[in-house]
Amino acid sequence: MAGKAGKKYKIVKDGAYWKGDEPVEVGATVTLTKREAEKLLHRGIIEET
Amino acid sequence: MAFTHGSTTSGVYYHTQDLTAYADTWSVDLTGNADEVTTFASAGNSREFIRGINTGGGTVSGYYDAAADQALFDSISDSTVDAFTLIPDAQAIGARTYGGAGLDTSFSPSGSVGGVNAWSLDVQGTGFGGGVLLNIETALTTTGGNASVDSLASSANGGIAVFHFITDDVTTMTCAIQDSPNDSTWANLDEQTFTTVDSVATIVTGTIDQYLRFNVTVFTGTSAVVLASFIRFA
Repeated sequence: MAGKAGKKYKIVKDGAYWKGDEPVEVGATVTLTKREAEKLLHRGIIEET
Repeated sequence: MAFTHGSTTSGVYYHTQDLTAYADTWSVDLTGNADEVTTFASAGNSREFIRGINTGGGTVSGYYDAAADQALFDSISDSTVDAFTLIPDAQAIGARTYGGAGLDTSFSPSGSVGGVNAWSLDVQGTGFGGGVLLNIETALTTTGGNASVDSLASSANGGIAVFHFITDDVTTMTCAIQDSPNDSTWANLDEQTFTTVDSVATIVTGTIDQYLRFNVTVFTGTSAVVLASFIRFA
């Protein structure tokens, strides 16, 4: 499913998304551009909240 | 221009074997197939072609050594697709590589009374190309991310994440190749956990962002040597 601009997404894959040198925990929400959301949805790292 | 000499080759790796100290010659063959689509309606009395499926592979040869010979002999008889990496220049994060996933199709030890015993290895790629080095052959002892590599632009057609886990003095090591659109937030392209020597070359699909890095996320043990690279598909 395509991502949406400015929407919040939930991290669902442990250790797969990082801010700098810190992993973002499963269950945390992140705001992503449409393009970045599409990439991470394709990899199964996030899901729509 | 920055021409390089053959002697600057700093890495020849097949599966778990660092062959650099045994090899003196390498070559890579990347072929972009052109398949014919000429019809009676083709104009200009010319044949027409379209781009087909690319193929690639490599050949390495060098001087016979019993340890390297045994490992390569064992590899020729298995059916496992292994990782293959050549580094034509000095090892540094961001250095050019060739390689990917491959099957060894020929291993040929040879000797003569007048010369040094030798060997040659042919590898047929099953996902092969030119990439960038993300972790050099040096001992790792803890978790952490490497400096990033700026590819100057993202790409849309996936690629190959290549790991050679060369030493096994660890209990568990988890490491990832990650990409980023901004050199700040990172997402795993491929993550692997090693508990013994191994190699993995994984084809990934979709968008690959501009920045790439290697990141060790779990490390228990003494030290480990992992060579990691990523090959973008054009």
